[in-house]
Amino acid sequence: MAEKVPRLVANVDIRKFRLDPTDGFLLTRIDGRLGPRDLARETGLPEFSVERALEKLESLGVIERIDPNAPPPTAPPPPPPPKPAAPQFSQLLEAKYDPAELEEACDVPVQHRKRVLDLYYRLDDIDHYTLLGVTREADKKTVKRAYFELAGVLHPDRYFKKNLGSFKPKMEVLFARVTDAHDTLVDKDRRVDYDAYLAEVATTKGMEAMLERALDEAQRVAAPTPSSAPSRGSVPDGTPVVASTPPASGSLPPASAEELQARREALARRLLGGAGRPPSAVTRPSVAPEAPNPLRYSSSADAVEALKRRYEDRIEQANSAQVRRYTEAAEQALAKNDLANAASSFSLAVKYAPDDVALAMRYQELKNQADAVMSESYIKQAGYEERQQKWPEAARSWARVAKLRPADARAAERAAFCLLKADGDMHEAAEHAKRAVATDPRVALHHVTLAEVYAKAGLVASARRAAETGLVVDPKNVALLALMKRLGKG
Amino acid sequence: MEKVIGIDLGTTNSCVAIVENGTPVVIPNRGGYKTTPSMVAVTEAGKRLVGHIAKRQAITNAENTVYAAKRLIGRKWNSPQVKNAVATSSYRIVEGPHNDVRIVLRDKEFSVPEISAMVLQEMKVIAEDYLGEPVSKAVVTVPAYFNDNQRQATKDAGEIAGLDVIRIINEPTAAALSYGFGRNIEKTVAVYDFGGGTFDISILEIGAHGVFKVIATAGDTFLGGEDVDARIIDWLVSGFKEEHGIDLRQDRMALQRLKDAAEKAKCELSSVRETEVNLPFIISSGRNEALHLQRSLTRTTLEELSEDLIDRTVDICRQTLEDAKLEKDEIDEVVLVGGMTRMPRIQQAVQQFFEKEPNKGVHPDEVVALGAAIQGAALVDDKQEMILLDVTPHALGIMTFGSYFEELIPQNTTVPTHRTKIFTTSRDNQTAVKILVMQGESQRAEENELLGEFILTGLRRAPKGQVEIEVTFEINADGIVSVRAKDLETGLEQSIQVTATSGLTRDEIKTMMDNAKDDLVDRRTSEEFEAARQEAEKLITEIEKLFPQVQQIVASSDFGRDAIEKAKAIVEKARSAIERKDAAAVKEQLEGLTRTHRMFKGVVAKT
Repeated sequence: MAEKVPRLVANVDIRKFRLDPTDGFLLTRIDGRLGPRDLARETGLPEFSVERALEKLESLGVIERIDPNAPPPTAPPPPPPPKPAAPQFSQLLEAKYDPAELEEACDVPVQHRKRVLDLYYRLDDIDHYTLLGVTREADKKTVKRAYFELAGVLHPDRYFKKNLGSFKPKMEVLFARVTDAHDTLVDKDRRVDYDAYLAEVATTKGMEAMLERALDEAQRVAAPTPSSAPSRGSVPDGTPVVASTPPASGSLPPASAEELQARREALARRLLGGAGRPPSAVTRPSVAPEAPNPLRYSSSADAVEALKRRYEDRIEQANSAQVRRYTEAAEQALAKNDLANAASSFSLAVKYAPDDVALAMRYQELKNQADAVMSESYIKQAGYEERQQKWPEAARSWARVAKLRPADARAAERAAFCLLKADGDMHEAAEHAKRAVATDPRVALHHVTLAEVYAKAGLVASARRAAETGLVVDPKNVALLALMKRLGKG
Repeated sequence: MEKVIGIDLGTTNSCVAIVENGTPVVIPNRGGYKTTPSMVAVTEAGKRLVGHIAKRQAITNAENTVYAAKRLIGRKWNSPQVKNAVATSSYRIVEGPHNDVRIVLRDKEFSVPEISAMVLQEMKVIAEDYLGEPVSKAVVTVPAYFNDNQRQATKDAGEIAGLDVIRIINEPTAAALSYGFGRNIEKTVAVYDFGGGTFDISILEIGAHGVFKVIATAGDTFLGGEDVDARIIDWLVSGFKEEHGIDLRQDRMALQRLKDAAEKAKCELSSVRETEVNLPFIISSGRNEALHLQRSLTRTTLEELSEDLIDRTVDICRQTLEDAKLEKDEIDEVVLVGGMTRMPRIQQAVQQFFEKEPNKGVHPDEVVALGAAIQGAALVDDKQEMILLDVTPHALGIMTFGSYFEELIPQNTTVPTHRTKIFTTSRDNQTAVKILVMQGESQRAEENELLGEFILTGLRRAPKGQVEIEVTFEINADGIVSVRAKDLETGLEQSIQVTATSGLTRDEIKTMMDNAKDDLVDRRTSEEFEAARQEAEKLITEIEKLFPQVQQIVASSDFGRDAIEKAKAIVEKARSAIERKDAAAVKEQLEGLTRTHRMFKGVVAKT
């Protein structure tokens, strides 16, 4: 059976809901065709965040889930189909384990095996709330209940003295994680700490995806053409648009000049016929339409010319209306300190007014601000990850900071260091370390890290060179001296 | 499905229970008592006595009667607790090999697990008599605050007694299991367990799906009813010294009598306000005259004598609540366990602290064994929906440079669990590192318990702090600790499974097991023989008493003479069987003796 896909519900004013950036971002991607997994891919958000946001949006009545193969609804839309039951989280995700693991000869019931494997291979992707299957708002009691239920199932004593095969260590790991989740969520201070961490992760992820997309679109829009239809879906100004046909996607190749010409002529002919119908092939936000003035032209060429002018005027008007609206939305978002939304709106505004230098500068300025916020957020995240000894995650976070702040030597050094700890990609680590050294060669630590990275990668000569350079900075550096000694023996 | 018994191996009394048809029941001993004194003695004839019989002869055989062996189990000879026990016990405690403790009974040295094994064996026999089938699996309880060495020693004791101890659980936890079993409640419960030798406090959450989660546990393994007894003894001894100038402690038999009297007085004062300690002829004055001890003790005096002990338990409760991050009003129920909680002052102190009337619905002496039986049943029976999530009572870690203790697994961590930390070398050119696995809460390593050690070699020669070693601690569901050290550079790895040392080697345990088995056969046969002998001798005496009369009456007839000959033969056979100590043969003659006796009595009655 085809997976149900989310779709926007018509005529819902989303402004009245309290949506966070992730929800908002996701909304802009919901088009009635993409399933949750596609959305996750498209937005770069983890699947669980997408699913959680979708559930929230669905419960708010902003979206509904439909069968993608069902015929598109006609306008006005029919009464909404009965709401499908909230899908089971686990069913939405494909199995990540090798089915052969279910076949292992041991005393664990098959249903239980599935559960164990499902959770075990997803441990790295899911947060404490998802692991326990509770909402962010869940109170202590709910967390405890959920934990007790899982603990009862995952504790190895459930199968005392039975042959559990490879499931025993897995169950022990799961049990420890579930317990950690419980212990964190029932402890007020630890939960606050953890929530802050999760919030940082969500912010950075959401902002990053949004900004990247904005950047992407800004690049793609060379000039506003009629075919570059305004955004699909709901935009921050809160006017949801229901597409009666699949909306034109930004990725469609721009129409050729001849095609445009042909379309315009066809349009003119229709208009000349006095039908006066607005173009129906393209959906657009409802801009207050001027009643067309029925005029008579001496020749058809004149008429075409006049119509062309009128048509372009209208496009212009529509564009400037969009620019106005997005700029307003951006300023509003800015007033609410919602940098991500503001940047996103500006990027769209810029798209409609590519020549507006002031707007572009404003956008750039805002993007810088958003970047600053994001890097702060990543630094906090990295701090938490380092404390928890999650080295690969910490390395990733520091790398992001380094990317956002190309002049931050410390971030680059930390990224390299965490990669070292995480047994990560030493090429990447070397890049970071080199950048740290290049940015601030006076800090011996940067040389140490670079040399260590080279040493770990087996590049003895490079390591020695890096260490020697470092020793020029700090001739008594113990770590460098030790490294030299070790390399000397090599 | 094999039956699993639950044994509460107490400092003063032990108790055994089993789950029958889904209901946990305490198994009474042959005397009909539900608890059996944890006492072991060896008589002059070399006979081993356990339980009530051992207790009964304790005064006349003080030097060869062991009580409160639990206070010594799993402890090192040089520990202050053992030093204290050496000074106050009426039996002899000596140093054994590898800093171990040995108890001397009739010139023979016994290890502490061996003594405990005798008690466990007694409990096993009680269960077997009741069930009518052999029992080989048990869940044994220990104080929550026992360290790994003490737990291991208890496990060894089980093994020596021929029991497969499938799990060691904590006494207060067991009490909570018994309290919450089958009640389908969601509650946070504090278990205040003040027993004969130890004090424990545990806070548990009882949740849906039969899950019992221990949140925090703490205690003092050298704070119990015995200490209250000791206070009374001190009071009696010092009073006597003032009056007569004689130190009663010098006389082991007097000490044992004092101990008995103190315990009795303490128990009585739970129900009455004043009691008399009366010990006539307690000691010789040295002028050919005996002195008597007679003093009355009031409840108030007892409360004064034990005030600081009670305060200590309350302090531990406060600390545990803090560890659990709970407020007093978050505790739904306070369960009292252990004989000492019968003392009104203690009930009052608990009520004052928790601001809540303690639950008196559980039997303080039996609840622990019942809980152990419940855990045993839950482990082997798939249908029992009960899971116990226990915690490590002590922090686990390693010794680091400067003999500091570096903690890896904190106290009160739910098991199974695992933790990793990275360490570096502490000396230049260090090529090997010794990992000392320790348990305890002190920052100073030497104040904590050493559980095991191993060496990781082959490290790169480097200045100190350069080589990184990753140490991983793991505790599995069975409570077994394994420690792994890995050189992060070379990937070299060393690991051990920490088998805590009970002071006994595997071979020693094996030998003791065999000895205990032999002893069991001996004892059982001798019991059987003893019973048959007594009955036979009683009958023989009766028959012989009637002989002259019967002879007079029936001598005239041939039948009579024949009967008398036959009777004489039976008596003879029985006598020789008794002499040979052949239980089976004595039993065989019992029927004949009974018949003869009945016939003789009939003949005499008719005339």
